[in-house]
Amino acid sequence: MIEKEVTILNRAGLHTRPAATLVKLASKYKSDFYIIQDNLVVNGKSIIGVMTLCAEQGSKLKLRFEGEDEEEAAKEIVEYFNRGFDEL
Amino acid sequence: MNSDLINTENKSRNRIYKGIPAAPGYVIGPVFVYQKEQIEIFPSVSLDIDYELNALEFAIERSKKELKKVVDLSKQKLNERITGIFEAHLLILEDENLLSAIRDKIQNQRHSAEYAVETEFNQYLNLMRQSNDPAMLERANDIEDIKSRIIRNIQRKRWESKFKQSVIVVAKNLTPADTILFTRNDVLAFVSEMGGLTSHTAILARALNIPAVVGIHGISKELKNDETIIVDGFEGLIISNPDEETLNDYKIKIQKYLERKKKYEELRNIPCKTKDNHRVTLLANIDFLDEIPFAISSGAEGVGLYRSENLFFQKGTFPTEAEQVEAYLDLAEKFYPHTVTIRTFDLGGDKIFLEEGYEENNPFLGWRGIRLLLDMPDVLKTQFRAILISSTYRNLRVMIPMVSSLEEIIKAKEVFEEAKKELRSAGIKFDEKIKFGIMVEIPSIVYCLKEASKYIDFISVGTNDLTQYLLAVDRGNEKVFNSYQEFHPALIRVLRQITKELHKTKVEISICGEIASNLKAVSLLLGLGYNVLSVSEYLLPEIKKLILNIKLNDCKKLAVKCLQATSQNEIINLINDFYKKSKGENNESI
Repeated sequence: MIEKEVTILNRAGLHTRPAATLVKLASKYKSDFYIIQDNLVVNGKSIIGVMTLCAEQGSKLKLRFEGEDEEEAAKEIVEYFNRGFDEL
Repeated sequence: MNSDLINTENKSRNRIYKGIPAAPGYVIGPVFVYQKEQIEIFPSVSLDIDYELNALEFAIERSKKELKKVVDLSKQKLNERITGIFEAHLLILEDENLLSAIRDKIQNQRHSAEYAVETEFNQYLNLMRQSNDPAMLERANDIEDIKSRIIRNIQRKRWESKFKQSVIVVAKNLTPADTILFTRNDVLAFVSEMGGLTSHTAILARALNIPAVVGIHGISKELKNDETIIVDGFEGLIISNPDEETLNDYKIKIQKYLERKKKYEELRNIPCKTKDNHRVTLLANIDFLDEIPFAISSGAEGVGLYRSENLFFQKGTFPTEAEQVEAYLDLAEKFYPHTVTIRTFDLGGDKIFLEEGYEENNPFLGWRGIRLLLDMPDVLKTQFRAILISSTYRNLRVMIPMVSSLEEIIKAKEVFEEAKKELRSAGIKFDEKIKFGIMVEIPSIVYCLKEASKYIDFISVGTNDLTQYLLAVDRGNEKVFNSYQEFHPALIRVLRQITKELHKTKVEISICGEIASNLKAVSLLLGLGYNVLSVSEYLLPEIKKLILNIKLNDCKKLAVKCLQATSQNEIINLINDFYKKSKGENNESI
């Protein structure tokens, strides 16, 4: 299991478009992917779940990856967060 | 006969409804009230699990088909960003996590398909609606729409969204999908009870160039099919039963607006770039709120300077916090998503300041701008509070005028922080990341900009005052007027110095003085490194036309020459030649 902390960098936050991209990225991997915000844990492969997160600019989220390709999954998804969802 | 008369009188009375101006434009036309059937779901147990599962699969497939139609229309008519939202909605219909939970409810808890969809979606919706972030509530509305779509398809019902004549669509709630499906018809305007400026429907209406007014409670019950109404998408007004006078007023408004719009239209949606592909941002200077429609249709990408002191002049005294909030919110809403820079009151100097018996020998070197405001901390704090309160759309910036030293910046920011603190403790929300900037119009601050960059997010160069303070010439004094040289070599060098001082800092630079609105000066400013110009709205399209036709590289060469020039005449000749040449090229290309 890998856990990473990420910060939302783009001004608009984790809105619908990046939520969809996240789910698409996560679905390429076999590993389970969860996003944790405070007490809320959502399945990162479920678009409706990711859309319930209220993550504005500056919010911190914990990402959890678990499965055979967890390293690759973590790398690509953390990078997507660090690029500010390509909206910087 | 008598009663007829009363009737006519009643008929001729305007009924005005005030809402939120979601997309600009004026329209007079007939109403089409769009009513959706309310879906009611009751807890129900089903004995036929297979039947329910099949009904669910059928509804999911049909909903997908419908949403694909929406995505296709969006691709044709709108941009990728908006299409992305609909594509995400389509993904919800493929969300295995969600679908298996719904199936599980049907299989193990014997829910009917619609009740299973209802309860499973509501878990997420309830979470979203706990938030007080408007964007989140908006998202909840979108998801509610998807839920209703699936349930409607389980019930095998259809909604009609096609009609023959040109109409103003009036509805209780317009979902983004409705909005886009309606565009297969000739829609003159959208009016809805629900929704705000940031609602996806409002964003869509703006992108589709269809006027829209939202947030008028009860309007779908007030208006009747086919009645003629006026939609004022600038002010957010609906006028039903318009009398002759109002109709005529609006016909004139529409005519004027269309004339201007036509002139602006061809240029409006072209990105402002030089021939060698360098982006230039053109903003509008605003004095009075009624200039807003023209600034928007000119293609301004925001307001670089709102001269808030005009609120003072209109009232004859300082406007209250509430009066200011009204004005600033108006700007924020109408320009959304573009940014509006509000400059705090710039009083004193040539702008008469009413205090009985108060006179100065040297008003231009006296009590004015931020100096005056720092001596009236309550006035300044009230203004900061008003700007902060209006900042919830996150598109306002605040700027202080006539700054001559770092201390003034620091003191003003202290007042700014106090204002924020007050709002926080009162539980009033505002944009925590609101940007703070200064006017650069006194030469002394030019040489402190590197240090100032720690305290500020942006600057705006005001060349009129900068010139008169640099040259020690009162531009209002006829006797020395000739010494006021707009293109004095020293000014050009100071403009260069400003960009140099801020090089490698994160401070954003724009320029808002008269020079930026001078067609001939634009190339020089670009060459000096200014790529955000705030100009008079009526000149904006002309300036854009010019920029599309020049190369930044050539502008840089022009700037180098002008920086070496030793007289204003030399500089004027250089920019005139350049201007003629760029116009000449323009003619050739046509």
